[in-house]
Amino acid sequence: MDDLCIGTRYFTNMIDESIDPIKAIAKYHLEKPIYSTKIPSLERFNTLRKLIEKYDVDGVINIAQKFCEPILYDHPFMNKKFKEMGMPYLFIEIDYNRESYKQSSTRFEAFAEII
Amino acid sequence: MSNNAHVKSQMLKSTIKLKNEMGRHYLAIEQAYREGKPTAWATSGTPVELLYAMEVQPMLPENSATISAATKNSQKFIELAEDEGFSYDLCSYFKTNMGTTLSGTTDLGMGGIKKPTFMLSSDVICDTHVKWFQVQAERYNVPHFTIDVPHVVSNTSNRQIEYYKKYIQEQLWEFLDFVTEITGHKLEHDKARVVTENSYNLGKIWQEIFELRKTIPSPVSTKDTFGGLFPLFTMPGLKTPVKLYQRMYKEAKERVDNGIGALSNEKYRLMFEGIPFWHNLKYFNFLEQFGAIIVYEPYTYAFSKFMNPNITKEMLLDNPVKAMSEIMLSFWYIYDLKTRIQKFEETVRDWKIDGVILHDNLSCRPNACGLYDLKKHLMEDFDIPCLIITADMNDPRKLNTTQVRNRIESFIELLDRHKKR
Repeated sequence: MDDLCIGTRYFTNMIDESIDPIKAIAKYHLEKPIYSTKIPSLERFNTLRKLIEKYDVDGVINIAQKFCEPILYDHPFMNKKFKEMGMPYLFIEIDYNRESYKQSSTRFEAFAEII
Repeated sequence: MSNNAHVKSQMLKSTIKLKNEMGRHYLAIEQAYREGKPTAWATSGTPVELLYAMEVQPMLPENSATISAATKNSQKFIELAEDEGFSYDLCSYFKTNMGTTLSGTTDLGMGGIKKPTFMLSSDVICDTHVKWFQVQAERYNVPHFTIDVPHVVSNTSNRQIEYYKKYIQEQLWEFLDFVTEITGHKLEHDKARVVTENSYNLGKIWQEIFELRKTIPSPVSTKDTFGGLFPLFTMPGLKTPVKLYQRMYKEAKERVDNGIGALSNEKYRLMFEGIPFWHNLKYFNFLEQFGAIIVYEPYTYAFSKFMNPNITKEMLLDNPVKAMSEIMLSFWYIYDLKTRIQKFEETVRDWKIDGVILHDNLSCRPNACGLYDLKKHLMEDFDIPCLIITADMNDPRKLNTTQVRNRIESFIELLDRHKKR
């Protein structure tokens, strides 16, 4: 399961075809689960928690591209919340370079062992 | 190239009085807490005037962060925030603020902060302000109001702009209700008129000081403007900073009338784009030995607010909320690249600038974004020498003093050749 900005979120709800199309598109965008760019963080955490329960998730990986501030701002809060619910949580800050991928794969392996 | 290590620029005498103004601001905060008056954190770019008009004492964490940096405390706070899990790349103002929270520092003189009654943020000049205040509002458990300001880009039509104004205005009315609900205070029209008039006068006199800087030699250096900026953020709407700026203006005007420059051997006139290094403001002093002086900073000018000619004093007094919505839509920081290039070109011409130094601020994406395009256009289309330097506004770890100095020195040599051409 993912919480990518353009991922499963896209299909979370459908555009209502029975009403005015412009209104329906606006409604669709407003009712989608919030992105990390939006607030409050608790609302996003609650969405994640529901997904965790529904899909029987064993661990959460949060990948932040360097300079993606919304994710970086949320991380300490998410870390605390996942700890409280006893959910293994891995946070990785990556850059677009080869070393970064190699380092990340080592950390994924270690995380898989923890789970 | 002349090299005189003994030359020093002269600060205006009245700027020294700024310390009293800062003291006044801190006293007002202390008093508000003693008397149980409502207080609010506000991000810069928000209509702080409305807070003053509703008898709510504003506090600006960004400003407190600069105080931490100036008193050499910012690094300690930033590292505390990083220990909490906040990234090395996040805004250093935010991390300074978070660090003071974590350390429990309430000493205003070193950039400490106090828990407010509520928080007011906006994405007008920086979208991360909203996340910052949300993180803090959750920690302090206080209400948070945010004002969303759409950006005007090259294809924004007039119809859209009109709609944006209404959109912002609706939010401001909503905000006033929010304040009333929390504090019981209502917006009194008479009080709002006084406050907005003071704010208008403050901004206008600041702009007039900048007009004087067009003179060769410039009567005012960055020593006056980087420091003098403070009331524009924290005290717009009060009477005393207006008086201070009037004194600054008078003194600068006297210098102009007598042909006196802030720097006695002014040779190169520079523009500095971006936020200065608050942790090392004296850094720029070395420019003076080359006869170089910074005569314009878009950053310090931008906060004079009242640059949009559509916002008249009459409009402000007649409908302060409407005027505030117009102001929020005409901040320098929401301009697109095309307008920005045009503004820079005009400024370089009007202020007779020889070269532009652009600060690629490592922890301020909105500030750093587009700098390379801006530089390319200014150099290629208008033959304006430009230099990009990399550092950080509040994090001393990110400024390599020697490297940046070497680059600036080479830049001045280049300016010399450019001038002789």
